[in-house]
Amino acid sequence: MDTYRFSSRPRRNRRPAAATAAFLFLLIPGAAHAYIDPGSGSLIWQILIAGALTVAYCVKRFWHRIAGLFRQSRRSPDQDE
Amino acid sequence: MSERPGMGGSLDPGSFRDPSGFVFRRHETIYRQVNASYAEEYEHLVSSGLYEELAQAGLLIPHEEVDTPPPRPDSAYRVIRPEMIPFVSYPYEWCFGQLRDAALAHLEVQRRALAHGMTLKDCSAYNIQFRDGKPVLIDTLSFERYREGEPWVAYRQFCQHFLAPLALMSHTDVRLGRLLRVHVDGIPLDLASRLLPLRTRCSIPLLLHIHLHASYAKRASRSHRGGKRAARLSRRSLENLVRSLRTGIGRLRWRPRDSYWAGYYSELHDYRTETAEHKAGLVAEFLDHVRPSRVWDFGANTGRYGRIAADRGIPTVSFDFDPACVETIYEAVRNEGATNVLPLVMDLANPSPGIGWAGAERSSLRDRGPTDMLLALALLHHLAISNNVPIPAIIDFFSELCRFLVVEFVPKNDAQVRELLAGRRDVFADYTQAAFESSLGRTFRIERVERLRGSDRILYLAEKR
Repeated sequence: MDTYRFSSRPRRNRRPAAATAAFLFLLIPGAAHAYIDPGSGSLIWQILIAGALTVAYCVKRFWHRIAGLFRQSRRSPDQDE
Repeated sequence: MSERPGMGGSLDPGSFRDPSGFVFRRHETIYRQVNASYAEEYEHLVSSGLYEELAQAGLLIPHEEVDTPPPRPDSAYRVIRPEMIPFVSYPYEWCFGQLRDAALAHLEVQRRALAHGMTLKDCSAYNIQFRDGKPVLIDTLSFERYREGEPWVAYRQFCQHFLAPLALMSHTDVRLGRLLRVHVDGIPLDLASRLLPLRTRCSIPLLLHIHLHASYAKRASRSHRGGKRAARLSRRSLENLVRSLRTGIGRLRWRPRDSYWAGYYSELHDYRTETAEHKAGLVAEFLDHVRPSRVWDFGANTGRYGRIAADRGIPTVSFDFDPACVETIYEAVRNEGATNVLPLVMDLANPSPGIGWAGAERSSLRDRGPTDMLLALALLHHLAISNNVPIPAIIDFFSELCRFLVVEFVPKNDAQVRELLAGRRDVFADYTQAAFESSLGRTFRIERVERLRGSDRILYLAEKR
């Protein structure tokens, strides 16, 4: 039963995935200025990953700041000594 | 060069795709016509301060605006005269380090362009040349004003021209850099994805910019029915995309190891230091006597003899078929800041042909010659014996490429030749000093004949008749 349900899951998701893809292709960015073929897939792909990369870099910077605070507070008593 | 009669110049056969302008040559000088359609972009490049900044940083070729009549006045806005590059080379002739530095230079240009409200509209590796040992962008018309929200149209081209070949060279085999000679618009990402080992999917930049990019683009080309504009990419996201590419390229490494040729001098074989020292002294003497304006060093190995020319201020191109040798020379050049040496990967038994559109877009090695002086040291036996090329054919090839020839004859009793002949039939009855001298004498006037100390090798200086 479980196996059946597990294998049927991707099938159920396929339609929304296809719809998302179709929607994204309607959002082909205007590249009227490009004299080389930028590749429609490459244009959409970079939009998708650039957003994700921006989030990742923000998290990374935030994490470094937090870690930096801890490092500072740990270093301060040493410096006092 | 395609001649256009009546214009007193010739159009560069590799400069026709971009409608913004084109390169032409007149009286041995290179010019670039800037078309009227590109006028606003060109003015923005200059007025934004981007041109000045990039030129000063050595990232963009400096140019002067000149009054030279344009070849196509109807479409012309300006004519510029860029600084000349002593020798034009192509990405499939570069070693790993050169392609990597070219990629990083391109990304740095894009980063600075974005800061000045511009972006690169193409990212062809052919737009980079090596000047004073460093990569420089030679296409002044590669920039356009950045429009907020627009994605980077050159993203795919950058991945194909730089990231894919570098990843393949680093993770699969360094010889795959030569794939760029087959695929003139860069290595298709689906091909790169198939050739890269599975572990490269653990690298986020390679996973995103090659593997997933390739499969997404493939699916997109199947289902795309013509799009409408709407999707946007913020400037910050675009900067982060460039940053991610820079991280991906920065992590790629390749070190020359296990190369028979790179250890040639260190192991020395039967190649005594005394002989090498004597040869270096003679090469220096010949250079001081001839004073060539430019030198090519064929079979450069560690680049030692080419460096003798470069140290005299002579622009020198050092060719070797082994990527490890070229990498070693490039590293030395970069570390020492030497400016006159350009090391390139070149198999002399199969030198770069003319490729691209009409077989003329990228020039053959022969079309980039002739050079003033050619060094062919410890090379003849490899061409004649390893590659079965008859000596007269080798001399003919050299005679098309140079005015002065410094060539070393390595006799059959030399350990190197004995090694080459071991395990195969000696079908080289004509491989004798007498036959060599007779062949050489037919096309060249022999000026000097010197036996190298500690060996039976002979060094010749000859001038083309």
